[in-house]
Amino acid sequence: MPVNAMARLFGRSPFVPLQLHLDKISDCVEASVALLERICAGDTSNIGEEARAVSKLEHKADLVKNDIRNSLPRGLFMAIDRGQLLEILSLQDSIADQGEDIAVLMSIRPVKILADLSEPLKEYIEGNLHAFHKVKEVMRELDTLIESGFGGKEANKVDAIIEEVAIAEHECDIMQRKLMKSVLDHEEELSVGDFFIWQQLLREIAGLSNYSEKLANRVRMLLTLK
Amino acid sequence: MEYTTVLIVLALVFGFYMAWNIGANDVANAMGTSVGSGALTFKRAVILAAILEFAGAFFVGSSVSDTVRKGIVDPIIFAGDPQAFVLGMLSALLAAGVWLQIASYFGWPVSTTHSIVGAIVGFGVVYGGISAVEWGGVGKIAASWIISPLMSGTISFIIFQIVMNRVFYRADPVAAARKFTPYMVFIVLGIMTLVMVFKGLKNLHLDLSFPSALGVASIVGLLGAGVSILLLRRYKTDDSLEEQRQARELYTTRAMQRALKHLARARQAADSDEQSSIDAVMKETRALTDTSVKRANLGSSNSEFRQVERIFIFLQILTACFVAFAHGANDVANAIGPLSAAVQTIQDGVVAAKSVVPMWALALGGVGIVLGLATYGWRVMETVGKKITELTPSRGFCAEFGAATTIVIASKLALPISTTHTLVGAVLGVGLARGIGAINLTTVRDIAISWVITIPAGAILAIIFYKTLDFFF
Repeated sequence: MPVNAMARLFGRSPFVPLQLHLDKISDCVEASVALLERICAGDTSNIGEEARAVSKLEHKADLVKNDIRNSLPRGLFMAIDRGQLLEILSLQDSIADQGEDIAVLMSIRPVKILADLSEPLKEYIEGNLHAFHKVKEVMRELDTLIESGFGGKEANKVDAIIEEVAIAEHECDIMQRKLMKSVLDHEEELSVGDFFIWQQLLREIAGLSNYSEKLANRVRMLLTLK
Repeated sequence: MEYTTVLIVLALVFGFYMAWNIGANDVANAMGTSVGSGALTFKRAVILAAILEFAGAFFVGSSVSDTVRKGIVDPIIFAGDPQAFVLGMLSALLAAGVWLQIASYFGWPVSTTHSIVGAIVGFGVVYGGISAVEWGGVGKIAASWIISPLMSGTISFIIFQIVMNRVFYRADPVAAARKFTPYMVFIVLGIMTLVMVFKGLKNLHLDLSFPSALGVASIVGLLGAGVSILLLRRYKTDDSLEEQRQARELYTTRAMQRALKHLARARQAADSDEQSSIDAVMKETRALTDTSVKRANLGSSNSEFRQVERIFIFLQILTACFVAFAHGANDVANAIGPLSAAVQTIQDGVVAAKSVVPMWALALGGVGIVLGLATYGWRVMETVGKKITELTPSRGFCAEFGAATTIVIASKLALPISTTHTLVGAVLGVGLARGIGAINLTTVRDIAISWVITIPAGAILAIIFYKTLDFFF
């Protein structure tokens, strides 16, 4: 039977696929961080294999991303602007890339863990992961946001979580600075290569919280705050 | 005698066929949204639609019927040739009915109103030339087709903003929804009563002047609002259920965490082979724990909005009935206007310039619509209901309110408009206010295209049928 005009009027809401995409990204980031924590604990076996597994997870997230992009025809009018949606998608994608880059970097050469740098590094990783978890919380509220028309109490609640992401990112910045100083303090014990890996690694990890904050701020622009 | 009997039977059959078509294709749109949002069960929707379609057709259907039979082609032109007028109206009915069936077979979103107007214009032009058509009246109708979706969209947009500000943005949305409901019940019932009794059916003494009609409407509205307050008081928002659920989730979470602790102990005691399999179990358990934590933490605001939507279910049932009523009032004319014009001309032997739509004709149209709904329309309603899950009760309420108000105003102004297009306009209005996840604008384009095609298609079919009928009689 032909489909009635009213029935055809409603399109597929983009929010659920968006959340699905973030779930896949989360798998990738968690796997990458798990690898990093293992290295911190001194276990450097099978890194190449696990880095490949992380890449595979990133690829899975990419598939979801492409699927979302393909299913957004021009004729779809959404509760949020198409451009904003695509930006949210690409920021989510950047987080996945960051997760993959960390694992790949470690497969090139695992970072040389110095005794008194292990704990601060772990804290630093935790801090960045925290920012990411918080932005995941924000994205999980999208359903309720559309229910509440992007305003009112719900919007204030989301706004508060977004603020937490921003604070987490700021704290990560401070940790990064301190860690870099400590790394430089150990100048004599590190080869040029090791030093390069340290510097790269800190930057890649920082990317997790940086992109999380950007993503959160993107969502903030959807809210109707009073 | 025999010859006129044949014509009368033909008129009844064609008019009934047209009414059946309307019931089969259009009614689903009015009630389908409520089925989709879970406000009404499918069976109840069909029964309610039948009652209200009939009421709308019977009580408010006459003014649009008048326009359809007298406002498009001037009956005076046919004064010397009543048979041509009868055959013309018959062919218009048949043309519109056939075109609707073709269109619904292919799934084109065409309007019953557009088909019948196109068909009448078609036979008018063929019989009396371009000047036989009252272009002023047709222009007014065409303008109303553009204005009606715009107007319904605007009303829905505004009402949705009001709902957002008065209910969803409040600190306690559930309490706000409870306060908001009686006012809306008052407005909806008030408008419905007003259109019924203000200049309504004379035979039933329902032709009150505006002030007294307004008085009656306010009383009915107030009564309805009072009943809604009583119903809301009896309706408990089940906080206790929500608390129970959360307590259960919390218990699950704790039990899972305990299981994890024991698994960790087992892992310490186990050899390496066992360890890896325990690791796998632990991984799964951890994932399970995570989900139960997630569910236990699901913010209370989530369930709050769910409760608000549950209150809006009542309001949406009311507006769905309002749409069905409005639809009956406006669309029944598409079948009844030409039918009653033809039958009266046959009976009297002359084309009457002034005549009222007989009540039996309105009743016949109502029955035709209900039968169309019962035999075929329910299937359409089922698919519409299944597809429209995006429309929550609060959004459905706003869209239906905008559409129904527009349709009854048009009915009172004797303008035949398209119910479906008005409803689509209303949904777009809510969508523009960011109320709906995603709307396919391609469908809107399809509607605009079939809008343009339907009028000439109806006209051409009417001309063909007219020539054929003319050949036989």
